[in-house]
Amino acid sequence: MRRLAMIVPTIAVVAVLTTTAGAATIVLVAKQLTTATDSAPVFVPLTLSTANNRGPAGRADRTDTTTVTFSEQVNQSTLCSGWSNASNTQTLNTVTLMLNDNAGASGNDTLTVGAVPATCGSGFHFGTIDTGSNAYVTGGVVSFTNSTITLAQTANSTTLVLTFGTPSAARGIVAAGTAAIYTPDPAIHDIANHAVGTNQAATTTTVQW
Amino acid sequence: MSYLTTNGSVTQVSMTGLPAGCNGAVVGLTLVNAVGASLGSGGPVVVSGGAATVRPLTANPAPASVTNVQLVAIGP
Repeated sequence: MRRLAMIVPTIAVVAVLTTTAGAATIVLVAKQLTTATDSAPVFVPLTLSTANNRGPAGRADRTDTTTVTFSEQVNQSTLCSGWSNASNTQTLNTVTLMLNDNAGASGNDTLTVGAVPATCGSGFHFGTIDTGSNAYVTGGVVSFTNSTITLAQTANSTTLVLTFGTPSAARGIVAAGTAAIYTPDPAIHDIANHAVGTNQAATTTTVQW
Repeated sequence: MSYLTTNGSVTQVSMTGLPAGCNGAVVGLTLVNAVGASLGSGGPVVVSGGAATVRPLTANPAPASVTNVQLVAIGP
């Protein structure tokens, strides 16, 4: 839980300089001045990237990948209940990834994790990626069956790779979009029990896959 | 307080849950390391609905190098 470490309210006098036809006027205005210090987020998604491994750039195809890295070791059971931190690598096969048509708050298509193997119990707590365009899919959800999710951890990082499986329908080809933004599932915590909170990561690219 | 990171660097800082009395205030912030040195700053932006988003920042540090975020609010 983050909280303000110090709040010091004071009354300040702010000088506002205006000019009228070459004449300067100084107006003194009383304002409330507040300073505070907040501790910085510790556990955040660091990077989001995509890779085109098949088909034209700008279209989500089988074997294309989406990669997220985190700033700390994730408590793996907060992603998938059946995973244990005893291993630094994990693989889920027979995952269904979903490209959801215009499902983002922005109206863009989103990428989410759908069905996963029973080892994950109630599901895989990934979160949502706003793809930065509404044209990756049109006319409804496209499901990618037999997709995979892999996890790899080092002492101070975690990498998740989502690889598309077989698509259920045709996809669009995006020529221009905006950066994709990953919003993690708030259930995700690191091994020191820091929540990922509302921190997000964006791609450097504006066309994905 | 939350970050938007791009390629491993902090590119945006968002604040939510600010007191209603802060609406209309102008805020700026500085990201500092463990010894209080500035790693980047941003603002001013106006608080609205108890929230403010600061972007761009003068520099984009790695999240791990940032220890605290210093805020200054003026007004309303």
